[in-house]
Amino acid sequence: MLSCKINGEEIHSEIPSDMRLIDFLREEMNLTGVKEGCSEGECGACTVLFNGDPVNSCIMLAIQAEGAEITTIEGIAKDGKLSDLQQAFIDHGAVQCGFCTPGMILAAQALLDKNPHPAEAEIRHAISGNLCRCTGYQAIVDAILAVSQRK
Amino acid sequence: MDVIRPGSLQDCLRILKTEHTIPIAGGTDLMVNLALNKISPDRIIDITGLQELKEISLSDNFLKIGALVTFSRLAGKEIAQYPCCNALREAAEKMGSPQIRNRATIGGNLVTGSSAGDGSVAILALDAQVELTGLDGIRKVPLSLFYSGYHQTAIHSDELLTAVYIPIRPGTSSFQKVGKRNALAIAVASLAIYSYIRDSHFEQIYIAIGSVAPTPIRAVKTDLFLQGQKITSGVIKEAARIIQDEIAPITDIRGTADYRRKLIANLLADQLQQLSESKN
Repeated sequence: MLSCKINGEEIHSEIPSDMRLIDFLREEMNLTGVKEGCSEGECGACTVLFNGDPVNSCIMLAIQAEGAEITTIEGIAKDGKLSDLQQAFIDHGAVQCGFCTPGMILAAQALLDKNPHPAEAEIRHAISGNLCRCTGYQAIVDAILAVSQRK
Repeated sequence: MDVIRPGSLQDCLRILKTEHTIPIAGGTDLMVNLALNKISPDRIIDITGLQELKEISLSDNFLKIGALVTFSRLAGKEIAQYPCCNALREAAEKMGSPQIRNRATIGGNLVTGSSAGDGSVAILALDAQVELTGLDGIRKVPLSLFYSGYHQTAIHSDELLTAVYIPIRPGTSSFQKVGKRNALAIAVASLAIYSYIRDSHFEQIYIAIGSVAPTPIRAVKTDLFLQGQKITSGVIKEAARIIQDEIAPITDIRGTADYRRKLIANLLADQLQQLSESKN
């Protein structure tokens, strides 16, 4: 039995003990914003927030989330309204195929939650575990910078 | 395959006694090896719930770092207050990616026994000891005797690496690595130095190197040469020559043996140079 909080909701679920966190989120919880890319922690597409910190859900067991708070991209929009980061990604053309976007936004969100006004180098460091193969990183960094300079 | 979450260290050690059972912590190496079928245990013990393995404490001039302390924590304030542990903090900052650092643990890095393990190389230069705990008791092993071969260590299958002890003393340490890119790069070569300089001379120096042998190694001949020396450009040059002769790296997909030799010589020269500048 796994008990944890996912996107603010208490979850109790009977799962196979060797299930990966990514499979639990995608297959059991239908949170398909969590993407599977490399399956070995190199690409960051499967990034979720684990008690506020970005982790790769493809190389974690679901059972290891016992008692934890998990946030996926589905938990970022509030009341049907996109978050500042989500809107900035659209405004800056930081989304092309979109596969890396959930992981990028979660990694960036974790940074801004701890450090609301990061320098560009800190932004690049924070998303260094997330690969993008389409738009390149400049538009993504611009989007994050724009949000960090707003307040 | 069954995954068990023991409620206590004692429970964990009891289950570890059963055959084909291995512990998992951050899982950043183990989960990949499982997916590739490089290992296929019957049972996995998830130790991440054992709070007592997450502590960092100082007593009798030894910094005790619990096996479950993550690289993100090693890169932070708790280690930064000890100049002699700089190498560990610098290695932790450079290891993997933010996601990996949030999960990967120091205990996992050490027992994985990779020659390229950033944390392992840094800690080897710090003259550390590991604490291995079994049902029959605890033993401490100097890290310099911990590695026995390629991905082989002195730990028994029914023991858990529970902590690392680093002596806190005067002096500083540093770590550098070279990889194909900054994030998520397995080191082509890495080098860590702990040293204590008194009256401009090396009172004590320990050099550790990664990715040039089946395990992280100490550069003992180079240490001996530098012991008691004053850092001059001539000494730096000679040390860089000695360390190249001392190591026998191999050529693999990440780099050639020659390239590694030169990298190590340059990493050593660079860190010695920085030491000499910080002294003046």
